Amino acid sequence: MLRTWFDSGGDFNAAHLVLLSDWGLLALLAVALLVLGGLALSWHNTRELTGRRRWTLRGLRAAAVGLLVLLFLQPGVRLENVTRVRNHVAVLIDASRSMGLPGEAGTRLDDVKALLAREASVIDAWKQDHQVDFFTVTDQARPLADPATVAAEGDATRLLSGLEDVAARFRPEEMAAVVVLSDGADNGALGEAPAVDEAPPAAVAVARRLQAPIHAIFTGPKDPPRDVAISRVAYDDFAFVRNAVSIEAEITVQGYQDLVLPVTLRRGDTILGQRSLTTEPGQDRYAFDFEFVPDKTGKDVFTLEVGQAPNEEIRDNNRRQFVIRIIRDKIRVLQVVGRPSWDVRFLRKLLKKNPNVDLISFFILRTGASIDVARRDELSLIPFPTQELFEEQLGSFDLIIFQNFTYRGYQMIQYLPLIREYVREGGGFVMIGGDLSFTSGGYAGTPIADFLPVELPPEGGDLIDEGRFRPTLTEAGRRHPITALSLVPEENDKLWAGLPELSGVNRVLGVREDAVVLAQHPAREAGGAPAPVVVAREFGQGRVLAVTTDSTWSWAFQAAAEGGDNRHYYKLWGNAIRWLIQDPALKPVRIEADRDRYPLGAEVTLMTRVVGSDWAPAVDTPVTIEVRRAWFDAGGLRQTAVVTLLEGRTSENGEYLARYQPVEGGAYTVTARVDRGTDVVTDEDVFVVAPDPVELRGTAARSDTLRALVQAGGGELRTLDQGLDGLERVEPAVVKVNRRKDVPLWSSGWLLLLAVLFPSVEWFLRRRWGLL
Amino acid sequence: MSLQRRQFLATAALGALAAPRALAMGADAEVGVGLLQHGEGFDSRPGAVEQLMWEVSKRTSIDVRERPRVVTPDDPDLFRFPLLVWIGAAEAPPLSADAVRRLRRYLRSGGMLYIDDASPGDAFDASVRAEVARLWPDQPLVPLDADHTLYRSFFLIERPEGRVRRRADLEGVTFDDRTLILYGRNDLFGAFGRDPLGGWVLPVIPDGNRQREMAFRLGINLVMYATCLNYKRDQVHTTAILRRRRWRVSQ
Repeated sequence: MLRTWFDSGGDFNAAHLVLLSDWGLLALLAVALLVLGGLALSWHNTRELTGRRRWTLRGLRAAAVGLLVLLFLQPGVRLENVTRVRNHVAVLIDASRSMGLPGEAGTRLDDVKALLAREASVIDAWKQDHQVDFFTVTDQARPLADPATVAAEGDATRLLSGLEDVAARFRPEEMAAVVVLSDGADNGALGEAPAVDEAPPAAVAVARRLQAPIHAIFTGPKDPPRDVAISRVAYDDFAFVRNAVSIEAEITVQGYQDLVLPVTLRRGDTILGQRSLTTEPGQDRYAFDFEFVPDKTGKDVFTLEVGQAPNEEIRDNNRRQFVIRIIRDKIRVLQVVGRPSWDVRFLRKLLKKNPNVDLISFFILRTGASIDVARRDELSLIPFPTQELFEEQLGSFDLIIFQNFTYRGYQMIQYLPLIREYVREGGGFVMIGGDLSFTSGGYAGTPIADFLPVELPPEGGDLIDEGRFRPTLTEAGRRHPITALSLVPEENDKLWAGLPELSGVNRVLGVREDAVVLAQHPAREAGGAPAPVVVAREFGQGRVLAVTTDSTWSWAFQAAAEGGDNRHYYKLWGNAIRWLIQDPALKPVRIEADRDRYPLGAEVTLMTRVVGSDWAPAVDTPVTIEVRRAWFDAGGLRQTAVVTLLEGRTSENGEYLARYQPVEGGAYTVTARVDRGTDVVTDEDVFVVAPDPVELRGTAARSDTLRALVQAGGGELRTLDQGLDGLERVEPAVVKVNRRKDVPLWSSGWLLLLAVLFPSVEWFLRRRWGLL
Repeated sequence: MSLQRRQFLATAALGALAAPRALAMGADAEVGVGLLQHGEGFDSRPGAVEQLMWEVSKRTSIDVRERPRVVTPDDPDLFRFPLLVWIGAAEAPPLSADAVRRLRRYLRSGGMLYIDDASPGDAFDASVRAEVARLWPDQPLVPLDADHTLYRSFFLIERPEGRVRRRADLEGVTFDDRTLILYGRNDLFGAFGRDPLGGWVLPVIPDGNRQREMAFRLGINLVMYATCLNYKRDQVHTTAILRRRRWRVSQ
């Protein structure tokens, strides 16, 4: 009304009374006291009058004082032209992959898009008072320009995280409402909260930050999809070779009864274990445990798979691939000794001192020929546990050392083939010389002889040469990682020439074609070549070393007599152990992906390191990387194909950094190849390219999570059919003043006239009534 | 019981008839003993080392070199014998500085020194304590624990015996999980010597043959400890180590 009276031009849209004076508080108080004092005095000096006259004077005086006060305060009307700032309605559209699953009509996301199209007029109406902002929500909220372009590609649904992002974007007074359109299949804090009547604390906290109603529109099928899903796989990123590894899996079954499906764990193509899933009435979750023993180090892709149920709507969640890095905890060495000796003593000391070695020693302290004059309980001897060592525990060893040991006399003949298979499958083996080794130990013609690097002569004849000698390095031995006491070949030659003499070698016929002689006898011959002293061979996946003397201990002890020390002995055997157990650091080529798992579309970084035959970084060396993808076709069969070749040259550090962007999911194997002229050396690594499995581990739409959300946010939970109209929104509170005009009321002539008139009349009446 | 004269002669005859037990790989492959020549007494127990090593060869699998090699601290061959025996019958002169330095190197590099007090009094004992303090100044001689590996390296031994019973334990200096100096005051090697006819050179006091057998067992354990170190202590843990990894044969 004020605006109507005072704004004749219609330029303003708001008006209110104001005081235009700028008196301070003290002045106002002083005036108030004066007014009260004057009124009290007036009250007092009119008490003798009759009723009518008394109240007339009091009224006139009060009116006069009131007008004076009014003039003093200078009241006015403030006219303003203001604009109301629209607050925000945040519309969050769930864009996770579960939204691509069947809903009521199309996919869940399609149904949401249809709702938004149908309710466009409602949203337009909102826009009069509110700014309507669209967001996608997956693991976070991201602004969205056009809801029609949303795709269900997100690898997670974390509604509370999305709401946190919205709360961080706007101040509480800027919020009108939040509308979440989702299937509620949350895999964050909301979905994992226990199903209780109260809203989870995290939801309450985010609602408190927003200070606006949180509404939710549920999209999803009326009936849950028929689905068998791997809902959880628990495993360690790394495990220890030859140690049992456990993998736990949980499988969720919806909409099926009387179902029997296989559950299979594979390492590459190899099946590690298989279980059977049989559904039970009233049960939807099934737990499975797998245990296996990895037999080699390195990374491998493991696949857990549950069979597909008839007419299953969602098949992506029936398989889970992951990478486990198999590492070595300690080098597990079995040292079997035919008789105690100084050679045994020094090697044992070396092995015991190595903190990375878990040593199991078995020494034959007494033979059948030994004279027994003591009772058994007076001896500290224990039986030689051949079955436990060579059958039950054989595969747990990284390296077996037969040091001057003969298998004869211990009923071991049946274990020799097992040892051969152990080596073939990746184990390390050393035979150290002595009068119980090689042919002297009866190994000629046995399965052990099959993998030894040397050809054994038949028994009989002269099997041992007792003379002293100083072994010489072969050309291969000058650079080989076992005999490289120095990385510089010339320096290495000098070091070997300075080692103390050895004594005695086992005679052999020669070396195998694929064996590499590293050190040889300077004077004796075998098979038309110098007699081998240190010979290496790769047999199957394993490695074998033959040392045809039992006197290397002199390099540990006698070297000290000549002012040296045992470092070369330690270096030699340390090298040998690392080579035998196939220490990755001794690989001439190594390739490594920067991660084990990549989401679809991510870039893979591959680092290849190359060393030359001198074990120095190989500079400007061509490297070829083959990228091979393995996947499962529609029929569930595993397929592989080379998808690309990457080529480059190493830097001055011997490194080649390659980048690759896989376009499809699957298990990838990258193999680096370097042609060194005489041979091709390779190394490989694996990784998985796949969406985050968390999103599809539970595919059922969940209105309970959305109900908890709206309960915390004081909003409504609606179905798609109920639409958006009428959802509560906070009116905009923030206004902006464009123009302002103050119209003083006190300056009116009528007021001045009244201010003079009231005291005058009062004075006139007092005089008339004889009070003056 | 130790091999008696009749047993000894019979065994020796059988040994001579039997095929050689092994094809020797050379001098360094045999386990032999160095006999330290310093002061009086190194030659006071003739045939003792030979007899001990003979017992070792007959009772254990060790391939031995029976005759000891007499060495001085500066002998180039000292480092061919990781087990060195110092028998003393009287007060010994101090080792020279060079000898101390070389013996210290010998011990640090893996050698082991057994000191045997064959003296009637305490004069040699005083010399030993003084020289051990010079050889290994950081650690004193201390009595070995009853569960020391030496006492179970082959035979289970409750009390270290010798030709005499002067002390109920051995002393030693242990470094880096290895007892590198051992010291016995019971004239261990005095119990070993035989004459050419197989009789014992010296009587064993007070328990005679049983005590001599126990002395041999200690001697054999000494050689076994020198060659196997703490192997026997490992075996206490072996089962646990084997079981610690739950390795199984793949099904």
